[in-house]
Amino acid sequence: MKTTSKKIPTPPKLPSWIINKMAWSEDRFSIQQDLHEEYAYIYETKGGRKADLWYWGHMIRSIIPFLKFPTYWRSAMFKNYLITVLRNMNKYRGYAFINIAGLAVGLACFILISLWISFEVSYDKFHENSENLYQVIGENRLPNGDKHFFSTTPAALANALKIESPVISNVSRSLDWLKFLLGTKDNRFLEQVRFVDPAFLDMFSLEFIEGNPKTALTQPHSIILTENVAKKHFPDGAALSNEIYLGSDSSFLVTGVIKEFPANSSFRSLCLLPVTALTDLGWDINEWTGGNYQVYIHLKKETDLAYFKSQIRDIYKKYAENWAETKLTLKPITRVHLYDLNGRGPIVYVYIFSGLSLLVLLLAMVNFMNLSTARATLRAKEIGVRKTAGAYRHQLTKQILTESSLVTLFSGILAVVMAYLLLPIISQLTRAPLSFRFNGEMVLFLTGIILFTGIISGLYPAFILSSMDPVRAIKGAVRPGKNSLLFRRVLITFQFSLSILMIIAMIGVNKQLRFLYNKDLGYNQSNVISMGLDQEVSRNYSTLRTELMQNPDILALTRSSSTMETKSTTTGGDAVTWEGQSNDFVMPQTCLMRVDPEFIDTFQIDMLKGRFFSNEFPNDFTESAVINETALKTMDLQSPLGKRLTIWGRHFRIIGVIKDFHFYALHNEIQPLIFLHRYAGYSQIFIRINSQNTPDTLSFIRKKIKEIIPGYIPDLKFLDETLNNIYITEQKMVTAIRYFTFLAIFISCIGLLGLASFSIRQRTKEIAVRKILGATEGNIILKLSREILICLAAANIAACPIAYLMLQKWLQNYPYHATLGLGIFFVATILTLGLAFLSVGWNVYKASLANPADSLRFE
Amino acid sequence: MKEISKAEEMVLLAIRRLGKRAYGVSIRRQIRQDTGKDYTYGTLYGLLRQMDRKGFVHKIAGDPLPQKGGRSKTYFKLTPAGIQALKDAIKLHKRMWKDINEYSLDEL
Repeated sequence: MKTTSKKIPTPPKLPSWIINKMAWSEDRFSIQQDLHEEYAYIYETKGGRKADLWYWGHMIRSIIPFLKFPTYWRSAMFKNYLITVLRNMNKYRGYAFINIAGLAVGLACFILISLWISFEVSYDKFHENSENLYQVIGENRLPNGDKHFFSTTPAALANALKIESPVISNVSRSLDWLKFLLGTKDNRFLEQVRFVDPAFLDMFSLEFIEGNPKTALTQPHSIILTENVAKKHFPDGAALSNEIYLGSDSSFLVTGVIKEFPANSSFRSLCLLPVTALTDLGWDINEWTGGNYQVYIHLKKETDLAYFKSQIRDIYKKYAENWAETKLTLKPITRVHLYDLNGRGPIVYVYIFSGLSLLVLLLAMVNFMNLSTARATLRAKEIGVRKTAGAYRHQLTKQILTESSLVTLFSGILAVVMAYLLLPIISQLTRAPLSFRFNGEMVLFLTGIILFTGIISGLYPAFILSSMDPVRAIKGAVRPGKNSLLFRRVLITFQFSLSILMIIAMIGVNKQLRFLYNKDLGYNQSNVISMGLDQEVSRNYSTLRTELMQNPDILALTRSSSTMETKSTTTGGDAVTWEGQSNDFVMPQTCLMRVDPEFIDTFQIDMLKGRFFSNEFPNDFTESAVINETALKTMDLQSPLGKRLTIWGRHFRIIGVIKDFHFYALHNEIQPLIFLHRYAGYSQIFIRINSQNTPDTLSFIRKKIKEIIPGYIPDLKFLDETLNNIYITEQKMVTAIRYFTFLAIFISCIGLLGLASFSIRQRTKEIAVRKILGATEGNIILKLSREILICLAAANIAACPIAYLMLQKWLQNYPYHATLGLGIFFVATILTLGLAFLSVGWNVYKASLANPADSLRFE
Repeated sequence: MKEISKAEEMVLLAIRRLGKRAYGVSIRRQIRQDTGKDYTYGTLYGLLRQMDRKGFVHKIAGDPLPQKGGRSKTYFKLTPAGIQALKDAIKLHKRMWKDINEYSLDEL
């Protein structure tokens, strides 16, 4: 619309648009006009470029004032929205409760899981240098071509690494699997200790209470204790500079007391000793043969990691012949906890539980959407009035989003309270000391999640409500459209599918856990006591044995190199050969177990062929071996007895075949097993006792041990309890899924309840008319439940196959697993049906009983 | 009576000086001339809205301008309450500065 011939300068589009968006609607035009006028003036006096620049600058400088000045009208509308929400809540208290409670439960669950996840990912990040700390990992090729990773390294590797690469600022070995009797003369406990190099204290952030970290581990006979151990051994509090005994005769000087390792540390050592102390025990601490240590390195900042990795990859080839095939690689210390070396590790649970918590939140959001759209008809008049009074559609959308955000805010507050109260329970369940701190991050997180939930769950209702035709809405002629009805049914079906899925998962996982607990292990694990053993106990074993066997309640005892929980020493390949071996056959991974002849009596296992070791055959000690059934099958021997078996170059004769039993957790199949009697290296004593007089027997054992090994206070454990604890992960999962399932069902049921009671109220007249025309109560109940029945049936059809596939996949992780019958699905279906009818039944029943005269009079 | 802020005082005075010619551009220019402060339109209109709500100024639509699609410029005018607010500001100012001037500030 040019009225002048002069070219009218137009300001740049983008800033103009931004100002337009920011400005208050009633002043928008004036502001734009003023800016334009001034722009034109500058354009003419100083040129276009200057004018553009000015315009841009002005826009940027205006941002803050535009946001700063309180906008009266906006807040006035907001106040109106707030009042409407509160009135609505008050009017329909039941629905408000369902909405808020459902969302609160979902949010609380989400908050708690987030806390747990943030704990899990915080592992080892408290070390100041955590970003530059790595564990050195060995990598081998298995015969089938797969990679196998392991963390054990020979003693001399650490030093070689330091010599080879200048980018390593510190390196430390660590050995933590030795157990010693530790303590003062009178009270000694079998304790796992950790041997490290002095640099360990520089690399990892340990909190010293007493002592100097610079010198604490420089002397071979020094030891650092954690606070609790120091208190245990020195109750009067003066641990520093005192002596403590390790084994029978070496004394160590306490050179430091440190705070307990934090819960999110992957090390949990009780005491630290210098690696040099191992020389006293007759160890060579510069060998290239063994695999006893873990190695940690601290890289200098800004190291080229890829180059460094290539540098150390083939270091074994240069130094150690027998390790030549092994490559070296690195694992960041922050990944040690979450990622296993082979396989996936706890990170899987992080994913599973974040998924589950999101699902529960989603269920709650679905409830909200469902109820809000269902109630659309009730609010039709309000919307109609607002529309006729001039409300734009985007304003209505805004209003409904504000409402949903407000409801979420209420639920958010409730959720925080719930999460706070439930935190101790969850901490116990996850064995993680979770804490709830209101810092900036937390507030930001909560605000974010509340806003997100509010907006997502408000979007669909906002769309439905704001699209109503005002004239019909005011007349009251609005019926929920076919589409929204369908949508609601789909949502209900979706909710129940998820609930059914979780019920089935819960039953399935539980079934597997029961299966693991009750599986016949091939030996008798009840009434067996285990205790740890070190060299000193070993030396006094025969005395201990004679003394203990005098008690008639003690039936048998044996030493063993295996704990019956995890695999003990393994070997295989060329290291194991035998008479009659076919040329091309290589022995797969095989377990070795060193035991006493009494092993078979203690565990009550039967022999398949031949005999077990016996004290009557002194030769057994040097040249006999017993194999298990699986080994027999693997070796493919027809008559195994008397055959020669060569292990690591030593010759043995097979004297017997023992029946298969599970000598470690049921997560793995039974492997070939070879028993030897010959070597020391026992780690456990197992004692079979009578089932009567258990407390007396226990105190008898304690007393005798303390007499024979002065001061030793053993930690006696029942084997069956220890074995059950192996499945702690599965157990945790069952408990967690149980809670989640409960939440999911709770949320789905209250959602269903809300929806059903609403639709019944809407159909009051219909019911009355039906009754007048002769429908029985049964007919009415059937009529009213049909919708729910159809939804549930659809949910079942959708959920069952998915659940079945998921469970099957999970069960494939276990070589020994329960079989999934159709029973599970049946139970899940019945359970959901039952719960659904329990939640809506009363309403339906009440509706069917209602006197038609009353219903028709209503209005 | 709640006293007005310095910024509000400036805007009110600028409108007073401009009389009938007080609209966005001229008010901004007037303030820059009198005080050297370069307010953005955001700040200016924020202040104007605030004072509109308090009843110190009110908007008047000017004559429709043909080339602007029939919409008119918005002029601002002081209301009696606005004039009263300025009076109060002067009184307050005088009371506060009683017996003090720029020379006596350095004494003591």
